[in-house]
Amino acid sequence: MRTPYVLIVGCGRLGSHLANLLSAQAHRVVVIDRNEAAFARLSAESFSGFRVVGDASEPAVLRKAGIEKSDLLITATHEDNLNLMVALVAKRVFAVPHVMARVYDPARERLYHDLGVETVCPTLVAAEHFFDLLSRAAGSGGGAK
Amino acid sequence: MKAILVGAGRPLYFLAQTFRRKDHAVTLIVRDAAESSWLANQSDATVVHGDGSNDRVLEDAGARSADLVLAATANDADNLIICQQARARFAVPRAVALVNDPDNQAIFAALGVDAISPSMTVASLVEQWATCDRVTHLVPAGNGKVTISEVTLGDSFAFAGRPIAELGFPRDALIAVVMRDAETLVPRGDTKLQRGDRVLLVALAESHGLALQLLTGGG
Amino acid sequence: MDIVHSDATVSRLSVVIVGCGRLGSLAARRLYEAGSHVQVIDRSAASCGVLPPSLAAAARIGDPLLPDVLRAGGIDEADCCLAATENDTLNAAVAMMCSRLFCVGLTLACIADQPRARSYRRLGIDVLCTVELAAAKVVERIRQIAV
Repeated sequence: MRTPYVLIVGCGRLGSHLANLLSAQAHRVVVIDRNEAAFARLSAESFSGFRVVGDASEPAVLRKAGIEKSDLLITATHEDNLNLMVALVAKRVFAVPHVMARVYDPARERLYHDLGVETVCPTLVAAEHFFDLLSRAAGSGGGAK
Repeated sequence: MKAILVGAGRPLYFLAQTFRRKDHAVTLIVRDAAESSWLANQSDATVVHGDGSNDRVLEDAGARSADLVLAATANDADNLIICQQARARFAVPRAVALVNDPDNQAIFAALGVDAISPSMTVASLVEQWATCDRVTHLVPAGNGKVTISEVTLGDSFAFAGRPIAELGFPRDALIAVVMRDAETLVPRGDTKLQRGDRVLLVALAESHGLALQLLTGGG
Repeated sequence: MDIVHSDATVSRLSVVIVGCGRLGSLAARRLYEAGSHVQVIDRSAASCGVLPPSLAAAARIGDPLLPDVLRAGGIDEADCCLAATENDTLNAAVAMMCSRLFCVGLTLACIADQPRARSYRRLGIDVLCTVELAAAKVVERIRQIAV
Protein backbone atom coordinates (compact mmCIF):
# COMPACT_ATOMS: atom_id res chain seq x y z
CA MET A 1 0.00 0.00 0.00
CA ARG A 2 1.11 3.57 -0.65
CA THR A 3 2.07 5.68 2.35
CA PRO A 4 -1.06 6.63 4.27
CA TYR A 5 -2.45 10.16 4.08
CA VAL A 6 -3.01 11.24 7.66
CA LEU A 7 -5.08 14.18 8.83
CA ILE A 8 -4.39 15.44 12.36
CA VAL A 9 -6.90 17.79 13.99
CA GLY A 10 -5.39 19.90 16.76
CA CYS A 11 -1.71 20.86 16.95
CA GLY A 12 -1.29 20.62 20.71
CA ARG A 13 1.16 18.34 22.46
CA LEU A 14 -0.14 15.08 21.04
CA GLY A 15 -1.07 16.40 17.59
CA SER A 16 2.26 18.09 17.00
CA HIS A 17 4.33 15.19 18.32
CA LEU A 18 2.41 12.77 16.14
CA ALA A 19 2.78 15.06 13.12
CA ASN A 20 6.54 15.29 13.61
CA LEU A 21 6.83 11.55 14.12
CA LEU A 22 4.75 10.55 11.10
CA SER A 23 6.23 13.17 8.81
CA ALA A 24 9.72 11.95 9.71
CA GLN A 25 8.56 8.47 8.66
CA ALA A 26 7.63 9.84 5.23
CA HIS A 27 3.87 9.78 5.77
CA ARG A 28 1.80 12.44 4.06
CA VAL A 29 0.55 14.56 6.95
CA VAL A 30 -1.81 17.53 7.18
CA VAL A 31 -2.40 19.30 10.51
CA ILE A 32 -5.40 21.51 11.21
CA ASP A 33 -5.56 23.99 14.06
CA ARG A 34 -7.73 27.01 14.80
CA ASN A 35 -4.75 28.94 16.02
CA GLU A 36 -1.81 29.52 13.70
CA ALA A 37 0.55 29.97 16.65
CA ALA A 38 0.01 26.30 17.55
CA PHE A 39 2.05 25.29 14.48
CA ALA A 40 5.16 26.56 16.28
CA ARG A 41 5.22 23.14 17.93
CA LEU A 42 5.96 21.48 14.60
CA SER A 43 9.61 20.66 14.18
CA ALA A 44 11.49 22.51 11.45
CA GLU A 45 13.66 19.46 10.74
CA SER A 46 11.19 16.59 10.80
CA PHE A 47 7.86 18.09 9.70
CA SER A 48 7.39 18.47 5.96
CA GLY A 49 3.60 18.20 5.80
CA PHE A 50 0.91 20.84 5.36
CA ARG A 51 -0.69 23.20 7.86
CA VAL A 52 -4.29 24.37 7.61
CA VAL A 53 -5.60 27.15 9.85
CA GLY A 54 -9.30 26.73 10.57
CA ASP A 55 -12.07 25.24 12.63
CA ALA A 56 -12.23 21.53 11.90
CA SER A 57 -15.92 21.40 12.78
CA GLU A 58 -16.51 23.17 9.45
CA PRO A 59 -16.66 20.72 6.53
CA ALA A 60 -15.06 23.31 4.21
CA VAL A 61 -11.94 23.31 6.39
CA LEU A 62 -11.79 19.51 6.37
CA ARG A 63 -12.15 19.51 2.57
CA LYS A 64 -9.37 22.05 2.21
CA ALA A 65 -7.17 19.73 4.28
CA GLY A 66 -7.88 16.91 1.86
CA ILE A 67 -10.22 14.79 3.97
CA GLU A 68 -11.64 13.16 0.86
CA LYS A 69 -8.35 11.42 0.11
CA SER A 70 -7.21 10.79 3.67
CA ASP A 71 -6.73 7.24 4.95
CA LEU A 72 -6.78 8.12 8.62
CA LEU A 73 -7.98 11.06 10.65
CA ILE A 74 -7.12 11.58 14.28
CA THR A 75 -8.67 14.27 16.44
CA ALA A 76 -6.49 15.59 19.24
CA THR A 77 -7.88 18.96 20.29
CA HIS A 78 -8.28 19.84 23.95
CA GLU A 79 -12.04 19.25 23.92
CA ASP A 80 -13.34 15.69 24.11
CA ASN A 81 -16.68 16.63 22.58
CA LEU A 82 -15.15 18.50 19.67
CA ASN A 83 -12.87 15.52 19.04
CA LEU A 84 -15.83 13.19 18.91
CA MET A 85 -17.90 15.53 16.73
CA VAL A 86 -15.14 15.91 14.13
CA ALA A 87 -14.48 12.15 14.24
CA LEU A 88 -18.17 11.44 13.59
CA VAL A 89 -18.28 13.89 10.69
CA ALA A 90 -15.14 12.30 9.21
CA LYS A 91 -16.61 8.83 9.54
CA ARG A 92 -20.23 9.35 8.58
CA VAL A 93 -20.14 12.35 6.23
CA PHE A 94 -16.77 11.85 4.52
CA ALA A 95 -16.44 8.07 4.99
CA VAL A 96 -12.79 8.29 6.05
CA PRO A 97 -11.64 4.64 6.35
CA HIS A 98 -9.98 4.97 9.76
CA VAL A 99 -10.94 7.48 12.40
CA MET A 100 -9.42 7.83 15.84
CA ALA A 101 -10.14 10.30 18.61
CA ARG A 102 -8.01 11.21 21.58
CA VAL A 103 -10.11 11.00 24.72
CA TYR A 104 -9.11 12.51 28.06
CA ASP A 105 -11.70 10.87 30.26
CA PRO A 106 -11.29 7.05 30.27
CA ALA A 107 -14.94 6.68 31.30
CA ARG A 108 -15.97 8.11 27.93
CA GLU A 109 -14.40 5.39 25.79
CA ARG A 110 -17.55 3.32 25.77
CA LEU A 111 -19.59 6.01 24.03
CA TYR A 112 -16.93 6.35 21.33
CA HIS A 113 -16.91 2.62 20.75
CA ASP A 114 -20.71 2.56 20.61
CA LEU A 115 -20.49 5.18 17.88
CA GLY A 116 -17.79 3.26 16.02
CA VAL A 117 -14.89 5.61 16.71
CA GLU A 118 -11.51 4.18 17.72
CA THR A 119 -9.94 5.89 20.69
CA VAL A 120 -6.57 6.61 22.16
CA CYS A 121 -6.66 7.59 25.82
CA PRO A 122 -3.24 8.77 26.99
CA THR A 123 -4.17 8.11 30.62
CA LEU A 124 -5.03 4.46 29.93
CA VAL A 125 -2.00 3.90 27.71
CA ALA A 126 0.25 5.41 30.38
CA ALA A 127 -1.35 3.33 33.14
CA GLU A 128 -0.79 0.16 31.11
CA HIS A 129 2.82 1.09 30.46
CA PHE A 130 3.31 1.80 34.16
CA PHE A 131 1.99 -1.64 34.99
CA ASP A 132 4.34 -3.23 32.49
CA LEU A 133 7.29 -1.46 34.07
CA LEU A 134 6.15 -2.48 37.55
CA SER A 135 5.71 -6.12 36.54
CA ARG A 136 9.20 -6.10 35.08
CA ALA A 137 10.65 -4.54 38.22
CA ALA A 138 8.83 -7.01 40.44
CA GLY A 139 9.79 -9.93 38.19
CA SER A 140 13.48 -9.03 38.28
CA GLY A 141 13.53 -9.24 42.04
CA GLY A 142 13.08 -5.58 42.80
CA GLY A 143 9.99 -6.15 44.87
CA ALA A 144 9.30 -6.61 48.57
CA LYS A 145 11.84 -4.46 50.30
CA MET B 1 -43.70 14.81 29.77
CA LYS B 2 -40.35 14.61 31.50
CA ALA B 3 -37.76 16.91 29.97
CA ILE B 4 -34.05 17.39 30.63
CA LEU B 5 -32.71 20.75 29.52
CA VAL B 6 -28.96 21.33 29.31
CA GLY B 7 -27.62 24.86 29.08
CA ALA B 8 -26.77 28.02 30.94
CA GLY B 9 -27.93 31.42 32.03
CA ARG B 10 -31.15 33.26 31.47
CA PRO B 11 -32.01 31.49 28.21
CA LEU B 12 -32.08 28.20 30.13
CA TYR B 13 -34.13 29.80 32.91
CA PHE B 14 -36.80 31.06 30.48
CA LEU B 15 -36.82 27.76 28.64
CA ALA B 16 -37.36 25.99 31.95
CA GLN B 17 -40.19 28.33 32.92
CA THR B 18 -41.90 27.79 29.56
CA PHE B 19 -41.77 24.03 29.98
CA ARG B 20 -42.94 24.25 33.59
CA ARG B 21 -45.92 26.42 32.62
CA LYS B 22 -47.02 23.62 30.31
CA ASP B 23 -46.85 21.24 33.29
CA HIS B 24 -43.85 19.28 32.10
CA ALA B 25 -41.47 17.85 34.68
CA VAL B 26 -38.19 19.67 34.11
CA THR B 27 -34.64 18.83 35.17
CA LEU B 28 -31.85 21.24 34.31
CA ILE B 29 -28.20 20.31 33.84
CA VAL B 30 -25.86 23.24 34.41
CA ARG B 31 -22.08 23.13 34.19
CA ASP B 32 -21.22 26.12 36.34
CA ALA B 33 -21.61 25.62 40.10
CA ALA B 34 -22.60 29.20 40.99
CA GLU B 35 -25.06 29.31 38.16
CA SER B 36 -26.65 26.01 39.07
CA SER B 37 -27.41 27.26 42.59
CA TRP B 38 -28.80 30.50 41.13
CA LEU B 39 -31.10 28.49 38.88
CA ALA B 40 -32.11 26.20 41.72
CA ASN B 41 -33.24 29.29 43.66
CA GLN B 42 -34.94 30.98 40.72
CA SER B 43 -36.96 28.16 39.26
CA ASP B 44 -38.84 25.21 40.68
CA ALA B 45 -37.11 22.82 38.31
CA THR B 46 -34.68 20.20 39.64
CA VAL B 47 -31.13 21.34 38.95
CA VAL B 48 -28.19 18.97 38.47
CA HIS B 49 -24.73 20.49 38.50
CA GLY B 50 -22.37 18.89 35.97
CA ASP B 51 -21.30 18.31 32.40
CA GLY B 52 -24.34 17.19 30.41
CA SER B 53 -22.21 15.30 27.93
CA ASN B 54 -21.07 13.01 30.74
CA ASP B 55 -23.26 9.91 30.93
CA ARG B 56 -23.15 9.77 34.73
CA VAL B 57 -24.49 13.30 34.96
CA LEU B 58 -27.27 12.51 32.49
CA GLU B 59 -28.13 9.45 34.52
CA ASP B 60 -28.28 11.53 37.72
CA ALA B 61 -30.69 13.87 35.94
CA GLY B 62 -32.96 10.91 35.23
CA ALA B 63 -32.17 10.29 31.56
CA ARG B 64 -33.42 6.70 31.81
CA SER B 65 -36.98 7.86 32.21
CA ALA B 66 -36.85 11.13 30.26
CA ASP B 67 -39.04 11.76 27.23
CA LEU B 68 -36.97 14.62 25.90
CA VAL B 69 -33.44 15.93 26.14
CA LEU B 70 -32.83 19.43 24.81
CA ALA B 71 -29.16 20.38 24.48
CA ALA B 72 -28.94 24.16 24.49
CA THR B 73 -25.41 25.04 25.54
CA ALA B 74 -23.28 27.64 23.74
CA ASN B 75 -21.01 24.92 22.34
CA ASP B 76 -22.29 22.96 19.32
CA ALA B 77 -19.96 20.01 19.85
CA ASP B 78 -21.21 19.68 23.43
CA ASN B 79 -24.81 19.78 22.19
CA LEU B 80 -24.12 17.05 19.64
CA ILE B 81 -22.50 14.74 22.17
CA ILE B 82 -25.22 15.36 24.77
CA CYS B 83 -27.77 14.14 22.23
CA GLN B 84 -25.62 11.17 21.20
CA GLN B 85 -25.26 10.14 24.86
CA ALA B 86 -28.98 10.55 25.50
CA ARG B 87 -29.88 8.39 22.52
CA ALA B 88 -27.10 5.79 22.58
CA ARG B 89 -26.84 5.23 26.32
CA PHE B 90 -30.31 5.97 27.63
CA ALA B 91 -32.57 5.50 24.61
CA VAL B 92 -34.26 8.84 25.24
CA PRO B 93 -37.09 8.97 22.64
CA ARG B 94 -36.34 12.51 21.57
CA ALA B 95 -33.03 14.35 21.77
CA VAL B 96 -32.86 17.77 20.18
CA ALA B 97 -29.80 19.98 19.81
CA LEU B 98 -29.72 23.71 19.36
CA VAL B 99 -27.04 24.73 16.89
CA ASN B 100 -25.34 28.07 17.33
CA ASP B 101 -23.68 27.92 13.90
CA PRO B 102 -26.52 27.48 11.35
CA ASP B 103 -24.20 25.46 9.06
CA ASN B 104 -24.11 22.75 11.72
CA GLN B 105 -27.78 21.98 11.19
CA ALA B 106 -27.00 19.96 8.06
CA ILE B 107 -24.07 18.22 9.74
CA PHE B 108 -26.16 17.23 12.73
CA ALA B 109 -28.87 15.91 10.43
CA ALA B 110 -26.27 13.79 8.62
CA LEU B 111 -25.23 12.39 12.01
CA GLY B 112 -28.82 11.54 12.88
CA VAL B 113 -29.40 14.27 15.45
CA ASP B 114 -32.40 16.60 15.26
CA ALA B 115 -31.21 20.19 15.32
CA ILE B 116 -32.80 23.58 15.56
CA SER B 117 -30.96 26.75 14.60
CA PRO B 118 -32.40 29.61 16.66
CA SER B 119 -30.62 32.25 14.58
CA MET B 120 -31.90 30.78 11.32
CA THR B 121 -35.46 30.45 12.66
CA VAL B 122 -35.52 34.02 13.96
CA ALA B 123 -33.91 35.39 10.80
CA SER B 124 -36.40 33.73 8.50
CA LEU B 125 -39.36 34.84 10.65
CA VAL B 126 -38.15 38.43 10.77
CA GLU B 127 -37.38 38.38 7.07
CA GLN B 128 -40.89 37.24 6.25
CA TRP B 129 -42.50 39.79 8.55
CA ALA B 130 -40.34 42.57 7.17
CA THR B 131 -41.08 41.82 3.54
CA CYS B 132 -44.73 41.04 3.83
CA ASP B 133 -47.33 41.94 6.43
CA ARG B 134 -49.92 39.78 4.68
CA VAL B 135 -48.18 36.59 5.72
CA THR B 136 -49.40 34.91 8.87
CA HIS B 137 -49.06 31.55 10.57
CA LEU B 138 -45.55 30.88 9.50
CA VAL B 139 -44.75 27.36 10.64
CA PRO B 140 -41.39 25.73 10.05
CA ALA B 141 -41.67 21.96 9.52
CA GLY B 142 -39.41 19.11 8.52
CA ASN B 143 -36.44 20.32 10.56
CA GLY B 144 -36.78 23.82 9.16
CA LYS B 145 -36.59 22.63 5.56
CA VAL B 146 -40.26 23.30 4.86
CA THR B 147 -42.28 26.42 5.63
CA ILE B 148 -46.03 26.56 5.77
CA SER B 149 -47.58 30.00 5.62
CA GLU B 150 -50.91 31.66 5.08
CA VAL B 151 -50.93 34.52 2.60
CA THR B 152 -53.70 37.00 1.84
CA LEU B 153 -53.65 38.11 -1.79
CA GLY B 154 -53.74 41.92 -1.85
CA ASP B 155 -54.02 44.67 -4.44
CA SER B 156 -50.46 44.14 -5.54
CA PHE B 157 -51.16 40.54 -6.59
CA ALA B 158 -50.39 40.63 -10.33
CA PHE B 159 -52.03 37.39 -11.45
CA ALA B 160 -55.61 38.00 -10.32
CA GLY B 161 -58.08 36.15 -12.49
CA ARG B 162 -55.41 34.04 -14.13
CA PRO B 163 -54.89 30.28 -13.63
CA ILE B 164 -52.30 29.12 -11.09
CA ALA B 165 -50.38 27.35 -13.86
CA GLU B 166 -49.44 30.77 -15.29
CA LEU B 167 -47.84 32.03 -12.08
CA GLY B 168 -44.55 30.34 -12.90
CA PHE B 169 -44.42 28.92 -9.40
CA PRO B 170 -41.20 27.20 -8.31
CA ARG B 171 -41.37 23.41 -8.54
CA ASP B 172 -40.96 22.80 -4.84
CA ALA B 173 -43.63 25.26 -3.75
CA LEU B 174 -47.28 24.42 -3.60
CA ILE B 175 -50.56 26.20 -2.97
CA ALA B 176 -52.27 23.60 -0.84
CA VAL B 177 -55.59 25.28 -0.07
CA VAL B 178 -57.45 28.39 -1.22
CA MET B 179 -59.90 30.01 1.21
CA ARG B 180 -62.38 32.33 -0.45
CA ASP B 181 -65.23 33.76 1.68
CA ALA B 182 -66.78 30.73 3.34
CA GLU B 183 -65.48 28.37 0.72
CA THR B 184 -62.34 26.24 1.00
CA LEU B 185 -61.00 24.59 -2.12
CA VAL B 186 -58.01 22.49 -3.09
CA PRO B 187 -56.72 24.18 -6.24
CA ARG B 188 -55.57 22.66 -9.53
CA GLY B 189 -53.48 24.21 -12.25
CA ASP B 190 -56.52 25.82 -13.85
CA THR B 191 -57.90 27.34 -10.64
CA LYS B 192 -58.02 31.14 -10.93
CA LEU B 193 -56.84 33.11 -7.90
CA GLN B 194 -58.53 36.37 -6.87
CA ARG B 195 -57.54 39.32 -4.71
CA GLY B 196 -58.77 38.75 -1.18
CA ASP B 197 -58.18 35.00 -1.37
CA ARG B 198 -56.28 33.47 1.51
CA VAL B 199 -53.96 30.71 0.37
CA LEU B 200 -52.00 28.14 2.31
CA LEU B 201 -48.49 27.96 0.89
CA VAL B 202 -46.23 24.96 1.47
CA ALA B 203 -42.68 25.41 0.22
CA LEU B 204 -39.14 24.20 0.69
CA ALA B 205 -37.14 26.90 2.44
CA GLU B 206 -35.10 27.81 -0.64
CA SER B 207 -38.20 28.42 -2.80
CA HIS B 208 -40.31 30.07 -0.15
CA GLY B 209 -39.08 33.59 -0.90
CA LEU B 210 -39.79 33.38 -4.63
CA ALA B 211 -43.25 31.87 -4.08
CA LEU B 212 -44.11 34.62 -1.60
CA GLN B 213 -42.92 37.25 -4.01
CA LEU B 214 -45.21 35.90 -6.73
CA LEU B 215 -48.19 35.87 -4.36
CA THR B 216 -47.64 39.29 -2.82
CA GLY B 217 -46.03 41.39 -5.54
CA GLY B 218 -46.26 39.40 -8.72
CA GLY B 219 -42.74 40.48 -9.66
CA MET C 1 7.66 -9.09 23.69
CA ASP C 2 4.52 -8.44 25.65
CA ILE C 3 4.73 -8.75 29.35
CA VAL C 4 1.50 -10.04 30.77
CA HIS C 5 0.32 -8.18 33.86
CA SER C 6 1.06 -10.47 36.68
CA ASP C 7 -0.92 -9.50 39.72
CA ALA C 8 1.01 -12.04 41.74
CA THR C 9 4.30 -10.19 41.29
CA VAL C 10 2.87 -6.67 41.37
CA SER C 11 1.00 -7.48 44.58
CA ARG C 12 4.33 -7.82 46.44
CA LEU C 13 5.17 -4.20 45.72
CA SER C 14 4.77 -1.14 47.87
CA VAL C 15 3.95 1.88 45.72
CA VAL C 16 3.62 5.59 46.52
CA ILE C 17 1.55 7.64 44.09
CA VAL C 18 1.94 11.40 44.20
CA GLY C 19 -0.96 13.31 42.66
CA CYS C 20 -4.49 11.99 42.47
CA GLY C 21 -5.49 13.20 39.00
CA ARG C 22 -6.70 10.97 36.18
CA LEU C 23 -3.56 8.88 35.86
CA GLY C 24 -2.66 8.83 39.56
CA SER C 25 -6.12 7.75 40.66
CA LEU C 26 -6.40 5.11 37.90
CA ALA C 27 -3.00 3.64 38.73
CA ALA C 28 -3.77 3.68 42.47
CA ARG C 29 -7.08 1.93 41.97
CA ARG C 30 -5.58 -0.77 39.75
CA LEU C 31 -2.71 -1.46 42.12
CA TYR C 32 -5.14 -1.60 45.03
CA GLU C 33 -7.27 -4.10 43.14
CA ALA C 34 -4.14 -6.12 42.31
CA GLY C 35 -3.39 -6.35 46.04
CA SER C 36 -0.35 -4.08 46.16
CA HIS C 37 0.35 -1.79 49.06
CA VAL C 38 -0.59 1.67 47.72
CA GLN C 39 -0.27 5.05 49.36
CA VAL C 40 -1.54 8.23 47.69
CA ILE C 41 -0.18 11.71 48.41
CA ASP C 42 -2.01 14.81 47.16
CA ARG C 43 -2.14 18.49 48.03
CA SER C 44 -5.91 18.42 48.25
CA ALA C 45 -8.20 16.06 50.11
CA ALA C 46 -10.96 16.75 47.60
CA SER C 47 -9.13 15.13 44.68
CA CYS C 48 -8.75 11.91 46.71
CA GLY C 49 -12.54 11.54 46.77
CA VAL C 50 -12.43 9.47 43.57
CA LEU C 51 -10.42 6.70 45.27
CA PRO C 52 -11.82 3.55 46.88
CA PRO C 53 -12.77 4.61 50.45
CA SER C 54 -9.98 2.85 52.31
CA LEU C 55 -7.35 4.34 49.96
CA ALA C 56 -8.89 7.79 50.29
CA ALA C 57 -8.90 7.50 54.08
CA ALA C 58 -5.23 6.54 54.12
CA ALA C 59 -4.17 9.28 51.69
CA ARG C 60 -1.61 11.80 52.89
CA ILE C 61 -2.59 15.40 52.30
CA GLY C 62 0.33 17.77 51.90
CA ASP C 63 3.02 19.27 49.72
CA PRO C 64 4.92 16.37 48.13
CA LEU C 65 8.11 18.41 47.94
CA LEU C 66 8.38 18.26 51.74
CA PRO C 67 10.44 15.25 52.83
CA ASP C 68 8.23 14.83 55.90
CA VAL C 69 5.15 14.47 53.77
CA LEU C 70 6.86 11.86 51.58
CA ARG C 71 8.05 10.00 54.69
CA ALA C 72 4.60 10.03 56.19
CA GLY C 73 3.42 8.59 52.87
CA GLY C 74 5.77 5.66 53.39
CA ILE C 75 8.44 6.60 50.86
CA ASP C 76 11.18 4.89 52.92
CA GLU C 77 9.55 1.50 52.42
CA ALA C 78 8.43 2.05 48.84
CA ASP C 79 9.63 -0.03 45.89
CA CYS C 80 8.20 2.45 43.44
CA CYS C 81 7.06 6.05 43.29
CA LEU C 82 4.90 7.48 40.51
CA ALA C 83 4.86 11.29 40.37
CA ALA C 84 1.63 12.06 38.56
CA THR C 85 0.45 15.53 39.50
CA GLU C 86 -0.84 17.90 36.81
CA ASN C 87 2.47 19.77 36.92
CA ASP C 88 5.37 18.40 34.84
CA THR C 89 8.05 20.29 36.75
CA LEU C 90 6.74 19.22 40.13
CA ASN C 91 6.69 15.60 38.95
CA ALA C 92 10.31 15.83 37.86
CA ALA C 93 11.31 17.34 41.20
CA VAL C 94 9.43 14.71 43.21
CA ALA C 95 10.95 11.92 41.14
CA MET C 96 14.45 13.29 41.69
CA MET C 97 13.90 13.52 45.44
CA CYS C 98 12.52 10.02 45.65
CA SER C 99 15.31 8.43 43.69
CA ARG C 100 18.27 10.42 45.05
CA LEU C 101 17.18 11.25 48.58
CA PHE C 102 15.09 8.22 49.44
CA CYS C 103 16.74 5.73 47.04
CA VAL C 104 13.44 4.37 45.78
CA GLY C 105 14.18 1.61 43.25
CA LEU C 106 11.80 2.71 40.54
CA THR C 107 10.71 6.33 40.32
CA LEU C 108 8.75 7.66 37.40
CA ALA C 109 7.84 11.24 36.57
CA CYS C 110 4.72 11.67 34.43
CA ILE C 111 5.45 14.35 31.86
CA ALA C 112 2.81 15.53 29.43
CA ASP C 113 5.07 17.68 27.27
CA GLN C 114 7.28 15.66 24.93
CA PRO C 115 10.21 18.11 24.47
CA ARG C 116 10.32 18.49 28.24
CA ALA C 117 10.29 14.71 28.66
CA ARG C 118 13.38 14.53 26.44
CA SER C 119 15.24 17.13 28.48
CA TYR C 120 14.36 15.48 31.81
CA ARG C 121 15.66 12.16 30.52
CA ARG C 122 18.96 13.86 29.89
CA LEU C 123 18.96 14.76 33.58
CA GLY C 124 18.71 11.07 34.39
CA ILE C 125 15.04 11.12 35.42
CA ASP C 126 12.90 8.17 34.44
CA VAL C 127 9.98 9.64 32.54
CA LEU C 128 6.55 8.35 31.63
CA CYS C 129 5.52 10.65 28.78
CA THR C 130 1.80 10.26 28.14
CA VAL C 131 2.00 12.02 24.77
CA GLU C 132 4.82 9.78 23.54
CA LEU C 133 3.00 6.64 24.64
CA ALA C 134 -0.26 7.74 23.04
CA ALA C 135 1.51 8.71 19.82
CA ALA C 136 3.28 5.34 19.74
CA LYS C 137 -0.11 3.65 19.95
CA VAL C 138 -1.40 5.67 16.99
CA VAL C 139 1.74 4.96 14.94
CA GLU C 140 1.31 1.27 15.66
CA ARG C 141 -2.29 1.45 14.51
CA ILE C 142 -1.26 3.19 11.28
CA ARG C 143 1.31 0.45 10.66
CA GLN C 144 -1.48 -2.13 10.91
CA ILE C 145 -3.62 -0.13 8.47
CA ALA C 146 -0.82 0.34 5.97
CA VAL C 147 0.01 -3.38 5.76
